[in-house]
Amino acid sequence: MAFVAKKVLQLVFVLLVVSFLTFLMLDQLEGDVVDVRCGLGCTPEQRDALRTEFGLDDPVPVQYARWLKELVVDGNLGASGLNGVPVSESLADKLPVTLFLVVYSQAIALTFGLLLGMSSARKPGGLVDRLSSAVAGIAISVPNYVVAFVVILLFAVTIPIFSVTAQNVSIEWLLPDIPAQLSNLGNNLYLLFLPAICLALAELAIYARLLRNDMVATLQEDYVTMARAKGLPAKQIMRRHAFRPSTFSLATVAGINMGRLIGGTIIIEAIFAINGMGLYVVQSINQRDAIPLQGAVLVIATAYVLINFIVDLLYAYLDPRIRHARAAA
Amino acid sequence: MRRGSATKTLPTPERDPNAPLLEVVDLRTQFRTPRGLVRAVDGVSITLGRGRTIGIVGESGSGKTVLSRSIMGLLPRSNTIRTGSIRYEGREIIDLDPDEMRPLWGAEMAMVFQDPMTSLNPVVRIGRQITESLRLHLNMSKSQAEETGIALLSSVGIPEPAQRMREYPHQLSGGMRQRITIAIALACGPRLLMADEPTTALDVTVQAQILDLLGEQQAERHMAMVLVTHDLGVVAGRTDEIAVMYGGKVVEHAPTADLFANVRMPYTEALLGSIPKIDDPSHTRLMAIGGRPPDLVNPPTGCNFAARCAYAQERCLVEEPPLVEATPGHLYRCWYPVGSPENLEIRSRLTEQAPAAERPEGVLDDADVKVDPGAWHETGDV
Repeated sequence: MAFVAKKVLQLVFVLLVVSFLTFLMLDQLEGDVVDVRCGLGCTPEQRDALRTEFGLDDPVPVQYARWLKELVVDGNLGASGLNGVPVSESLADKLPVTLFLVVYSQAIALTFGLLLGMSSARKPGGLVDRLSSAVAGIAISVPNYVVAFVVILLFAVTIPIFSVTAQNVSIEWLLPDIPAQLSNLGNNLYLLFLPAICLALAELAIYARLLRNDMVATLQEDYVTMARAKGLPAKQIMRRHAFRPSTFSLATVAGINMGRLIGGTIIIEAIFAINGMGLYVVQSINQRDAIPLQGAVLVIATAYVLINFIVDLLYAYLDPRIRHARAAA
Repeated sequence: MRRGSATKTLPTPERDPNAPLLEVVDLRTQFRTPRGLVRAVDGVSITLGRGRTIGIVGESGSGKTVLSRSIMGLLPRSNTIRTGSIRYEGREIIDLDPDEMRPLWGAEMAMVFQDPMTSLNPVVRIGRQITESLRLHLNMSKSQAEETGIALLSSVGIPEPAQRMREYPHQLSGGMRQRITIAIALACGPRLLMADEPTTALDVTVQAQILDLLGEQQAERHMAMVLVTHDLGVVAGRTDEIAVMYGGKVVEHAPTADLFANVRMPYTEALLGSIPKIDDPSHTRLMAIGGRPPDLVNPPTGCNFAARCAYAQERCLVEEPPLVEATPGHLYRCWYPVGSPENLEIRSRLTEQAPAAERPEGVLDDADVKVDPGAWHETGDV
């Protein structure tokens, strides 16, 4: 599988570049983790001792090399300079929450985006199409934090069916029995419903319009006329003949969105007090805490590359021409 | 989901076994566009008996493709106006909506499209593209449809049909793909096949094979065919009658042999002249018809073809010629038909002027056209 090998090499390269740049940028910021840790309460001797312990006096490339060596040789992501909590432990806590939120919101956005896009494409310029175009315009232009406050006001305060915060989310993967697992899942779906909706809304609108436009173009194709000439019912034509060829740009955009959201749900995480990756990244930067930031950036970049890889595989599934071209290469 | 065979067979009172298979009377198809109404098909009448073949010939923009799609009712419904009458086995079908047409599409009338590169779905396996109409119209089981599909592929001359069923269109050549679209069209045993320029997008070497295949299948299945083409050579030996279209109208309509023997319409004559002849010396200039087809939003007064016609006279520009019958079954639309004394007179006048290369002003607008009516007229018997 030359294709997979190429992707792995690409991943390694991306990770090296991204992690080095992160180190470099954090170094440019005013102050360091020792300042944050000490506040106003350290003697200059204590400060120097801490700086030496964290190796902050070494040049950036040396610090980077040390971090990299520890990662590659010992498989250790290090610990926070502020409170000594191992980075791997924090990530194990926060990544599942963010992943859950991202997948949840994308599932909502894709499901309803596809339904809306397909029904708009059936009659371009029809009632459904014009209505969904107008609503999409609004959904795309309203920032998600505005949506967040509106939905909190409506569905957590005025009609208190959901809770204002989602800080009690705890993602469990391996509960001993199925009912417990289901109840954990149900609880998380409930707690993260409002944040997921906030993240999904604009995306949903984009997916619906994207699919609608591609599908309208596909419906002009000769093979759709040919399918009509066979006497196939309209629904079957949409599903079997027009849908798949219309999903290429949708797959691309959805992939990019997923990757972007893994590090980019910060505002929503802050509003709903969700203990996820976004908050972790911002805290690390504010505290000049290089090692946790490095860990988080590694995870986010890996997720990006992995998702792109999945999108690439999806293209091959969607279009047999790509599949065969790759097999031949 | 699936339609029962009850809906497939039309109620008997509406079917008339003595009626011709297809009867089109004064069909007009117009498109609403920002520029105005486009009269793509402008009063066409055609009758086609069971098992017969009619060739519809004309250049791009003459309305021949729109005509075939109008007859099947496959044009997008918004912005399209169809008037006139289309009777299939005696039953009026022009005002049927797509839901009512669906039992006919694929089962009774089928279509082969121009370009097999675009008419097969690139992401659907060939097997499914063939079997879906079998399962729909003939209620076949999956395995029955599979078997029938393989048999169909082999009947249109595709080697290793079982393996082809699992492949995608891009894995086959253009000629093979067109064979597949033919197999798809034939799948449910239609009585009427619309072939819309079925060989135009293909290599010259496979064109004849595809036309032969269509002819064989048609004879075997006693199926009527409308063969749409821009190439008179294609229809010459393969049709019972030919309708030549120009600017949305039929300008000449005759039994095939009669048309080639006694061309009446100068446009048909020019079309014949534009076919390169194999016994011409090399580098003989191709005989093109100068100018463009008429504007179908604002059609010219008088004869549609007058602006490009070598024999056009004053009358042609102001008065539209009606479709008249020369001999039984041979219709044409011209004031000075080829072979008439008037035409001969114009022709001799033109021949005198020809060496000086003088043309009637405003009649021919393409400087590249060689006006040599004598050369155009090799097939006639004037």
